[in-house]
Amino acid sequence: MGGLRFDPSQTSDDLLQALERAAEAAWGADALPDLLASLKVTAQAIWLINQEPFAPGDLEP
Amino acid sequence: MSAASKRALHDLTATEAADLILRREISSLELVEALLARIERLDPSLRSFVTVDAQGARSAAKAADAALQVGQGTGALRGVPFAAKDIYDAEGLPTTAGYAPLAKNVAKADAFTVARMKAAGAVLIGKTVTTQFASGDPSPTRNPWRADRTPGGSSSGSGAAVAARLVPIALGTQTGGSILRPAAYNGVVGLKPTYGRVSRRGIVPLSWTLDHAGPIVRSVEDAALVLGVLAGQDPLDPRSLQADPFDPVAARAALPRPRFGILADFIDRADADVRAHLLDVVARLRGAGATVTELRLPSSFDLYLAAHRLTMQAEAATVHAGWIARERQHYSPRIRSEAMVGQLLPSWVYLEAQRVRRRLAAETVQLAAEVDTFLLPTASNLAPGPETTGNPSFQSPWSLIGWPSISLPSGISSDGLPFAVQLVARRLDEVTLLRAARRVEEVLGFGGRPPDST
Repeated sequence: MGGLRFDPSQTSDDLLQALERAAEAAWGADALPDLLASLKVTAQAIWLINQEPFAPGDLEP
Repeated sequence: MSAASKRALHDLTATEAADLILRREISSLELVEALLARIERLDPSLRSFVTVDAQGARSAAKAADAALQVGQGTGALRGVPFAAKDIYDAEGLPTTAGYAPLAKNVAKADAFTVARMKAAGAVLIGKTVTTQFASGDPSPTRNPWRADRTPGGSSSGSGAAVAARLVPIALGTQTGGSILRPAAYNGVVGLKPTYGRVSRRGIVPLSWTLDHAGPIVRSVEDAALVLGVLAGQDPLDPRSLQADPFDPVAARAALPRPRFGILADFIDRADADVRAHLLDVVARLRGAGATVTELRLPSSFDLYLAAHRLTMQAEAATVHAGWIARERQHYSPRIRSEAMVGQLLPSWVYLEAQRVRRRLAAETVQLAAEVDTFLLPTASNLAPGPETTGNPSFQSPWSLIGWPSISLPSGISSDGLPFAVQLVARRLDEVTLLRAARRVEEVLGFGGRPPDST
């Protein structure tokens, strides 16, 4: 079970599960249905930026 | 008597009105009264205004007329009425941001931009409807072209009011696509300046590294005129730029043979009718001497959207953290869920998004090297139904990298909705953006208006 961490090998589904767990802990299980649409798009967005290769020195342009 | 002075007062553009008022062919008060009567007649169904300050507008108009009589008050917008989206502060009027608990939040001072408009002689006529906190939940405003379609958002009231000839200028804001999309769906002109070109002080924030302020108007000439008033450094806005001043006079002349880059990534994703229309526009521009080159983004289109989304979520969550903790029951569903999910994002997500954002901006500079502006549809679709404010994906990449963009109407679909094209120029190059837009406006000669706006 993966957490919400930087790990390019995580899938979008891994990230969604991690976000769901974080949402349940923060906002309660009752809030999850209303948040699910946003969580799905957010998981996909995190996955996408995780695939971008950066060197440690690429913090600023 | 000039040709413009023979037209109905509500049809005058800001430039025309300012000229006629200066020559004293019309008075500011006449114009204000005509627009107030029109608002009273049309806005109960359009629902574009949340506050109409009739008394304040009459008083300011009389003052503008009196000043001109003694040779004063000759600012660029002397006596011209304008409206401001209801997230701009205007002294003495409520700033509600579409949020019920702020119904009595009366501003103690003008936003920097509202103060600049007034200093240039413009007359504030009221506040226009915003979606809640300038986010993605639909507003009650109707599209004046078709009541069963959205006017877009979040500057819903500003777009609809300008299209319906209730006011020649309405200020909007854009964090994703909230100036250009309402302009497109309402068949008017919307300008998002370079990030930092226009101060955001006194405007309710949504996402501070993405928020832009700019005008919705009915001509490219008016967009330049208003930007000339709004632009300028504000030492109290930490993101305000110390850039070369914007020169509205230099932006007047159309570029005779502009070089456009059409972005295939966007055209591929547009609805079929929008794509066909854009290709027709390209043919007409080529026929008029423009050079049009096809370009592709170096990185994935979706990467722009991902970086934008994560940036906005994290920043909006921070802006709204206190209210979400105390009173989230008052929030509309979409902004509430984005603000709640944004609180879950760890710092590395936000920082990776900024790293991606900087790289995308650098890549886009390279892409634009051989063209004056990019040319693309403003939105992927025509105005959809009122359950949404539409899709921001064609506008938000330029909010992400802070480049100036403009939407102008370019035709009318078979089912009576406006098409629009978008131009995007390099950072701080609004002069080229507006000159290219003037050329597009000349070539296309759009003269459409909503059905009940005569």
